[in-house]
Amino acid sequence: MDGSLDFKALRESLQAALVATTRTANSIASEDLQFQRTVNPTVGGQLDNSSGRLLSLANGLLKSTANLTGQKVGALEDADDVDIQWRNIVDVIDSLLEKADTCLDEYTGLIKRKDAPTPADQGRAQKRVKSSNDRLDWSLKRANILKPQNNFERKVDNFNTGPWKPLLSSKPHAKVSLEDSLTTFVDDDNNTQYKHPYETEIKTTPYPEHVYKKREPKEYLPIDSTSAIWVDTYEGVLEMLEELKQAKEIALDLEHHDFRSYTGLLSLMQISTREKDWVIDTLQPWRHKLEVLNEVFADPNIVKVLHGAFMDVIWLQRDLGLYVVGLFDTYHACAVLGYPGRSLGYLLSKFAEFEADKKYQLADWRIRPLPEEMFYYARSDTHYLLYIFDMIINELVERSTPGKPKPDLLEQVLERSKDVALQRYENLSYNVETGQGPRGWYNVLLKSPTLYNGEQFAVYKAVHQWRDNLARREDESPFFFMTQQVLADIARILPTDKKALWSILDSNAKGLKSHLDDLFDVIQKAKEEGVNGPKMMDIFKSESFVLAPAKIAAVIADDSDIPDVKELKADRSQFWGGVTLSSVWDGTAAKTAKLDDVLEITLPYPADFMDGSAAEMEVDQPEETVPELQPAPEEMTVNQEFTLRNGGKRKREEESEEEEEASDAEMEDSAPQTETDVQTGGEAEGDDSDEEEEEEEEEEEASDKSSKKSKKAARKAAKEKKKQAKEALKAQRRAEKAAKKEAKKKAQEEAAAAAKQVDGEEEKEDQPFDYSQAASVLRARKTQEDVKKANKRFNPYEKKSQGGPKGARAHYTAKAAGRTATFKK
Amino acid sequence: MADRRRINGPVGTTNPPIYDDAPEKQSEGVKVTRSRPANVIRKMYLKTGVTPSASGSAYLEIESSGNGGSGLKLSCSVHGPRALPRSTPFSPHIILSTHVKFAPFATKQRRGYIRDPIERDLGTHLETALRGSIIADRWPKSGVDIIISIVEGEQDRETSKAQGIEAWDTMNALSGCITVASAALADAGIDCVDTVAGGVAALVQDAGNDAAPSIVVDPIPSEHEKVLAACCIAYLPTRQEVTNLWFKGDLPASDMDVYTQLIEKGIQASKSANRVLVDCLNETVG
Repeated sequence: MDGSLDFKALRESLQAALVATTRTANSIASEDLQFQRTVNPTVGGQLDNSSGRLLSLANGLLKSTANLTGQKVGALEDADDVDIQWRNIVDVIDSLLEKADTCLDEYTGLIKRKDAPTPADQGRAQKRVKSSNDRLDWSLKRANILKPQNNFERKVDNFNTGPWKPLLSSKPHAKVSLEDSLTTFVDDDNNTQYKHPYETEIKTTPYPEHVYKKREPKEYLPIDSTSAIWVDTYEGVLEMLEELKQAKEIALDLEHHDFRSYTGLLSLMQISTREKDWVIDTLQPWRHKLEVLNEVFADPNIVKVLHGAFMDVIWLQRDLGLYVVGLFDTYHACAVLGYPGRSLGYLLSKFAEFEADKKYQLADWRIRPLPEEMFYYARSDTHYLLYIFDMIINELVERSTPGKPKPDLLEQVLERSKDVALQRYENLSYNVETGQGPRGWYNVLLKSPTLYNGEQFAVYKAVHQWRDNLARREDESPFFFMTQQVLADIARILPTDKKALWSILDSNAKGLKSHLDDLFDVIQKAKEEGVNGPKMMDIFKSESFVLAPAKIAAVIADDSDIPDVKELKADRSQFWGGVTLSSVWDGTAAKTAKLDDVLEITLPYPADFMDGSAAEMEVDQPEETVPELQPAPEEMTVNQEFTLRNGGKRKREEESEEEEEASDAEMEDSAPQTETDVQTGGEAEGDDSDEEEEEEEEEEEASDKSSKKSKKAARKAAKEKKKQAKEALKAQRRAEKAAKKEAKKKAQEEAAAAAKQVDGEEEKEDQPFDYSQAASVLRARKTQEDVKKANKRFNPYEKKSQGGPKGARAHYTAKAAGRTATFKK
Repeated sequence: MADRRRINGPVGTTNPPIYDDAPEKQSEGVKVTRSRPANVIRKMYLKTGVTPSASGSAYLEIESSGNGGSGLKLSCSVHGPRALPRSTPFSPHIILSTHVKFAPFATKQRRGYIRDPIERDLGTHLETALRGSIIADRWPKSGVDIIISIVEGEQDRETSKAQGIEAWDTMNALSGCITVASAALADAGIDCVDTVAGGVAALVQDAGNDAAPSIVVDPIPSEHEKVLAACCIAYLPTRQEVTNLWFKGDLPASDMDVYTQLIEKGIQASKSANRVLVDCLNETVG
């Protein structure tokens, strides 16, 4: 509070001073200084003095800030320099403001930074870290020291290929006795293996109650003021053991070395309780005695907290015969909680704000005495782990709902930790022929992109085996003698002499020098044998995993599972029903006589309506309607009252032409006449024989011949009468011109009488039309020619399909007849 | 972008009233389950030559599942090959442009006139599927337009949208699009290496037995409790090639068998569709 108050006061006074200064400066600038200077020499002197003072102040300010920000500004000689160097000055001021900004942000808590912000230095410092410190010194990585395993009281047998027998000599906290738990079983690959001795204990023992409870996280002790205890005597171990037994939870970590040993060496063990850290040397000749730690490690009431215990569990049982019951793996907690990072480094920075220098992970941990920085790193691995454990347990308990299986995160972590603890070490087997096993070549070649032929493959296998044997004999890692790259190079190049071989081996392969002749012989022998040997792909092809695609191919080729087309195809559209989608499919285009079917199309109903009565309706409809349509008055053209000018189908074009001619001829008479007159006149003057032919055709169709004949006779008679009547009419008109109105009236009456006579005759002879016998007009039978004509007329799309630019077609010259295959017909 | 070419309905729309009929109620209580065998696709009705003005056209209808629902109905027309406009750069092969559009009334949820992302996505998938079958370099400097309108979508689009599994329906639509476009292409006489047809297979969880998920071809999402994964495949049977593969679902990465089996079944569905397709084309020729 005081500080902020002070700041407020300071800021106010500063602001007031600034405002006052600015005001004065402005008022001075508004005066004509040059004029004042010449008018009053003392003013000139004062002005020079104050400007000099201001300049020196500005210079001093710039200099001090330039030191801070690392920018350089030349000294300001006079007022003009301010203008000249303005840009530099602005830079300096900007960086000052920037710095003030970051300071303020830090003060308000927007930015977290531990060391004082010195951006100029910071960049350099970060770079330095990356350039020089991120790689471990070679001497720390590959130390050339005497092999500690040579002094071990119990030696490791690298050539053991049978089941690996657990080192356990006694079994503390046992539920199943040691003898009963050291039994064998046959694993998936048909190898006999020993069971995990603590399998029952790990599976059945519950975790202690306190794991499930939220706790107050206990802060770790400061790492700088406390020190870890270096344990390199058995007495020290026993002392430590007593203290460990009092703890409720311990943190555990291991360091491992695998380059100068075939199986690998557990080199260092770090244990932390809440109060103390121990770093245990596990390379002592009496290391097997560390088995006493099982009293704590196998105690289910003491929780062992490890991070990423996947390998640690195996190393412990392989080298020391130690088993962990009550494991809590913080790696799996990270996974379950969905943290962005899962490494120990992430956890350390998240919870303990400690940046672990992980480069030491790759250090050679066999170095004794342990260098200070490595000791510090080893200790820091476990020092914070129990605090992290507290935080993680709290978060797990918070986010879990116990009892419900799915969201119980804590239970998930514990289950996974149990699985980790149940891992077993097996001997590093190696099958020469198939390349299977942890030290085999199978997995390496599977991932390599190179394909070896018979010779190369044989050499690869031979050298690989030779290297493995050598490594087992000398107790070195196979990679110590020859890296994978070198091995691949030998197989690829197939060196023809020893010099070429030596040039392939890299400079670090000092160990190979004495074995060079041996290696060369192996290569030569394998080369000869491999000429007819299997290629690399042959091996992989025969393997089971490649069988999978082959199996798929077989299944694909097999069509028997696919149902027949008839089962797959629907013959009737659910939407359109039986209606054909286009004229192509209803057959009208192909079969001429079916054109009238088009008339029977009724609007389709959707499938939903079609069940039941609706479906029947659809079938019945056309049949009901057709009889009504059928009585088409075929005789209409004959029956003079109803003739339309261009209407009837029977009307031919020539007929209508003639008709027009006829009417033209009669126009000369200029008297307006009824249409019937024109019609009859046309027919009378037209081609009678034509009409008769037509009528004869119809007569053939008609069943009742006698009635037709009488009709025909009646018609002929009517025509005769009409002719007479017309002539009479004409004669009468001529007489009219000569004899004026009285004569005209008389003549008209005469004519009317004549017409009446004709009508009367007609009515007598006409019979009622027999609709049931008449042929249909709508469904009139068509001749082939008619159909052709009709089809020719019906192609609304012809223009569209044939017009327009076509795509150019390559490699194919013959032009296709139609565009769409469906409409080709 | 506003659609200014057509007279659109008012912005604020109301849904037409849906009356709660008896069959509705039935469907609420009893969930329809799949009655087809797992390896049989729904019946298809496929006809070419439905649009005389197009160079090639086809109409595909997939039989509905039964209870009043509607099946997929697609109409495809192919225009071309025709000369590209002068402005387009030289192309040594035919340029495919595919256009898939749901009719505004195709689904219960009314569709807009402008293509939405799903439709554009379908178009791209379709193009990939067809490009593998067309012999493109026979037609240099040419373009062909393939236009598919989905006249009616799958019946339970609304329910599937509510369940957030719209993609399964989209897959069915895509497989239909591929088949119908292939038929229309053949109708247009555009040279293809083979007839490509679409097929869908899905890993489904049925309601009753919760233990065993099974693989079925041509799934209807509403018939199953849950669709775990599905794949849509465009397949050339005589060449045994897959031209388009769309896989979606949540499967354990370790179990490669499920992946291969799903694809196998997808291929099988595609082959079934291809039989119908070939039969339909034979009708045209014969």
